[in-house]
Amino acid sequence: MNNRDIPEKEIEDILKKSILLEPSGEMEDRVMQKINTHVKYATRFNIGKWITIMVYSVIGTIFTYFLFMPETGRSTLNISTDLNRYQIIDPELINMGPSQSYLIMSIVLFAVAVWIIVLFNLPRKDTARKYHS
Amino acid sequence: MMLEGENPFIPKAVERIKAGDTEAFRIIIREYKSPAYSIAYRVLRNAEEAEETVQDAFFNAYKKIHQYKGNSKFSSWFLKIVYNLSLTKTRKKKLNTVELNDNVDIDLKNQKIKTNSWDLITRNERETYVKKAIDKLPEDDALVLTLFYIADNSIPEICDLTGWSQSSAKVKLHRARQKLYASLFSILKFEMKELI
Repeated sequence: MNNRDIPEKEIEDILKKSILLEPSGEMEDRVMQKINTHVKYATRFNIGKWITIMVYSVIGTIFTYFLFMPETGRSTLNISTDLNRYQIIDPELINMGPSQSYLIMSIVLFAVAVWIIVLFNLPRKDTARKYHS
Repeated sequence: MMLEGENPFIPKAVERIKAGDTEAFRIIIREYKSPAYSIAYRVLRNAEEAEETVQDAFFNAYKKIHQYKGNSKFSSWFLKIVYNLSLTKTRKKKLNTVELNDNVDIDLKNQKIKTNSWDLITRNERETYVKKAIDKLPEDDALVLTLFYIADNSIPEICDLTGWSQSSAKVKLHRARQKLYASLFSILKFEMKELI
């Protein structure tokens, strides 16, 4: 038996040809299905998502209200007394007590929080354009 | 921007996807499904997991396509996603990989592989044995060979993809080739014994 080298060049050629493995034929459709579902739901009004946002916002507002309200004695932070000096709305100007002014402050915070969440959840312009075209 | 070695249809397809044409993503899938699957398979060593990973990688690429600025080849950008996702899945699963070094480290120092078996087999059989030999290699070696031939023999691209240094990539490639030949030799030797 005559021994000889395995031809390196041939191995290289085989490697170039056979190193690529083929996935199943369904991959393209599966990926496209996933993308289309994503595009569809990214642009749809999702009632469940909005209910969640509202519930969390209301909880946040109540929490903020009790956290900073000094007069009832239910305040959970010591800084609330100091905060009383820096009220956003002067109670005398609008003829209301400090707790009411804190309520207004909480509502303002609530609105800001909702808008931040809304801005971060808006569908992308490009996907929306495609969906509606 | 056209980059060397990039299919000219790809930048156009990317622009179309960015403009909201979802169907243009099919061009990307057709172009890169095989390289992506090959890389994922070499890392994960499991056909189903590799397929699932590539699907996730395509989906992630679609969602992040606005982050691709066209400064590098799309293939590099996308295959990096595939590679990283495959690594993450491997780490999560903590696969118990079996090192096959012992089986293939035959005569690595005297790397003059000689056999007459090579002449006795057909081209198709040769391809089958080369594939078998790659499958027997340790994960890193099989991966570096895959990347090398997928990335058109470009060491910088392998480094960009994996984060290895150039010298490290060259050493890994050299060792992988040696091991491949040793592995091929041992397979052929075994097969010939079986035949005789």
